[in-house]
Amino acid sequence: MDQPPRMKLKLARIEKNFTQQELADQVEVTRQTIGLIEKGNYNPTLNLCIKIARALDRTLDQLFWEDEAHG
Amino acid sequence: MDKRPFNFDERETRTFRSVCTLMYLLTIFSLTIIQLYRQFVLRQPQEAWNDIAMLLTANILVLLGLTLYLTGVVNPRKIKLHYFLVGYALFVLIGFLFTIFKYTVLLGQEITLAQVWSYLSTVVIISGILVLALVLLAYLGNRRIDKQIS
Repeated sequence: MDQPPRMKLKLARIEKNFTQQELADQVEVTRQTIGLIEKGNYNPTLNLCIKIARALDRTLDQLFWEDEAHG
Repeated sequence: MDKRPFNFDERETRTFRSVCTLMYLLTIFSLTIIQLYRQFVLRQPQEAWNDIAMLLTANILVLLGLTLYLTGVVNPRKIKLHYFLVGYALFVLIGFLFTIFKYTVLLGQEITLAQVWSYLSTVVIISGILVLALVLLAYLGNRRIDKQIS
């Protein structure tokens, strides 16, 4: 997965067949927050990152680690 | 789908706090301008602006004290004594110069040498108490954080 973190999150969400609203409900935030994270306009806290990773069955690295090419 | 009309998540809470901080700073700034305007332009008696002055003083002191205590960012044990003394001397100097400026320039009074000594001793005592209280809070805050991480 050689994508910027925001794309990784979006792809993982789509692979899991979640809408932004469904993911937002699972991790107890608003849809806008998920949208802003995916657009790279909001830096979530570590707690929220962990919740998202659990909801999407991924590790933090798989979702949020920035590859050097995109650093 | 979440049907609640208000659902403050971490992003909204963060934004709300930023707005609160901005409004707090604006309020303090406005109150300062109002107090100075009443005191030195309108020349109102002290009773007319004393409440604002006390509110501002308490506010700034509580802000400084709580920040030092809750963040634990300053460790007084690692600051050398002469830095304390220089800081205290600066505190006294600024307070003293402002007091003299206030009475002579802003209020246009002539002050005697006895009054100068009286103002100086007041500034020395009040600054001393404030600096000691802030150092104590910084020490307690730093110790609290150390305990939490040990």
